[in-house]
Amino acid sequence: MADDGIVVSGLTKLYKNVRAVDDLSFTVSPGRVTGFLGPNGAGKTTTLRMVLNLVRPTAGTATIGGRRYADFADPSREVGAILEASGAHRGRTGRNHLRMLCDAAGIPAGRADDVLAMVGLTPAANRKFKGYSLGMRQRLGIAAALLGDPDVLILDEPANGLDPEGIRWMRELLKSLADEGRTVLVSSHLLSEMELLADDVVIIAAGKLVRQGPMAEIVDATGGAQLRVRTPRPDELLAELGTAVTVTRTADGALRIVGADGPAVGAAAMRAGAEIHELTVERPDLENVFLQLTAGKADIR
Amino acid sequence: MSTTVQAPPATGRPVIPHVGVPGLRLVRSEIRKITTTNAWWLFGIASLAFTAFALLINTAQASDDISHARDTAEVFKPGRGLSPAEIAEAKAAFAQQHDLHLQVVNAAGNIFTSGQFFGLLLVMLLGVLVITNEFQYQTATATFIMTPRRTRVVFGKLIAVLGLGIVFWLVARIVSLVVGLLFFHNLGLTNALGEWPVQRAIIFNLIAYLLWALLGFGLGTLLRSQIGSVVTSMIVYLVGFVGAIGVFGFIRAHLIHGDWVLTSAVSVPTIASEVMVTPEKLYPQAAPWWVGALVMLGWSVAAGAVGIVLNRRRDIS
Repeated sequence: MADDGIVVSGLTKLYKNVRAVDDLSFTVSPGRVTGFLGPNGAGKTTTLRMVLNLVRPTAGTATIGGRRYADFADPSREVGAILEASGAHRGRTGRNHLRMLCDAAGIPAGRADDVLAMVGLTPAANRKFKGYSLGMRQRLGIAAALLGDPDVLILDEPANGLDPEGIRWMRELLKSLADEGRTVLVSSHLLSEMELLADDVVIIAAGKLVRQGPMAEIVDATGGAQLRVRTPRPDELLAELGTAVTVTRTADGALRIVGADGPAVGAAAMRAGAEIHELTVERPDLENVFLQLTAGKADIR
Repeated sequence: MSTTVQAPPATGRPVIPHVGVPGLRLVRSEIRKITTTNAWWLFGIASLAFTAFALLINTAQASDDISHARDTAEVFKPGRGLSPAEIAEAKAAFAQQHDLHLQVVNAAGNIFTSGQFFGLLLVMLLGVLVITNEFQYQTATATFIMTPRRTRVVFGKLIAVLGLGIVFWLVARIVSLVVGLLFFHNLGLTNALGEWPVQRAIIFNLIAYLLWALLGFGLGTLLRSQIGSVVTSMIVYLVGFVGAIGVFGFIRAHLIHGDWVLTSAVSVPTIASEVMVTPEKLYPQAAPWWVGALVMLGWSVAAGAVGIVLNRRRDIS
């Protein structure tokens, strides 16, 4: 099964003076949705283009199921990818766009109608691409990726331009594809969406790997739980808690405490005689973790 | 790790048969790309319009020439004050004008290849569009994801372009054939289709269509920018002939005094093409027709080869 995954190893791309991707290594497992995250300009798209043999790496390799993409004779039946929502001729209909891709891949032209139905574009099949909304263009891109019913899907920012209903549709589609055992690698900077969608995450910044692993692990390990506490006598409470905790005061007068759990804070409050008005356990979210991990690395290069 | 048997593949996965001849799939895809946009019929209409316009002019000219040749009442009268050599030249020209067979053959050659001038420009531009559209509309990404072996894609396009050249040639030739046959039938003359000079004109007309389509394709592969390639090919085609004659004539007159300078003007594609399609010498120092054909082929292959090498290495982003 490990052979079905994507393995990126030491991938590097040098543009003039910029290391767009810098010795990047990570793996993507089958049967899971892997979120590929990074600030703008982190090298996400360049990495995906190198995986798909569109951009030549300066160094390193990328394989899918153990093979380089350039060595696939008939890739569409094994790998489906969308990189640009705008990649179709303005004057060609959605159906004809898919049919010409079918021709190139040796897939019956009738498959175009199947995938159009899968992405809900059947009513717009005979409309020209220039009349498509951004969301419809994304759906057409996904339809193209699904033509060969591939085991591996690589999608660059597929949620861009989708409305809330479309985003939910996309989430459910990608989850169901992963549940069928496929490998799904999806880049995005919509972090709240990623938190709902992805099982694993790969976070890069400035072309380098920052963190990789299962979503829950990374969020918990990096963030750690914090407590939000409100009391009229904060100083007495903090004196009782001692120096083992770190405390920040929020603008609305609450305390944000890291390093103690709920029972410990409750016991300390009782000893200090401090009335508790609010005690909330705040789980860290992906957004906080992401900003923490990529802090200072998201500058324009 | 686990000894359990792997679960059978999820049901409901479609079975997608393999269709198409492997080598021709990409050609078919390219033909569909061409026929599913407006370029197809816009170029078709332009080609028909130019052919019709050229037929109008060519048949009018032929009609004049032939009635002139049929005028047996006219006699040769040399002008006053001419040298004997000039008189001989004028007499030969007079004889040619009144040689009905020659005039019919010349007329047939013109009529049956009507629309060549703009037809060649159109197939060249089509050759440019077939490759530059991929970058203009960012479909190169989708195309090369479907077929990562880029040389195959380029050859698929190449074959489609040549096929297109043949189709455009065929349509223009059928139209001019019908008009030409009616024209000669009306005059009660042979259509001269059995004559080698006429057959040669039609055959070389086809070769010119293929070579100019190829040259446009090579230019598009090389330059990639659509507007840049279109402008370059129009300049090469429209300004190339007059410009090259002017430049080589200037060099011959002022810099290098040798007739080989004029002969070497064949190195310019437009002159090479004219040298190739013209049965007689285009000008006294002109190179033989096959040199013109080879030069055209050389330019197309060179542009295409550089383009293929660039395409193989180029980052698509």
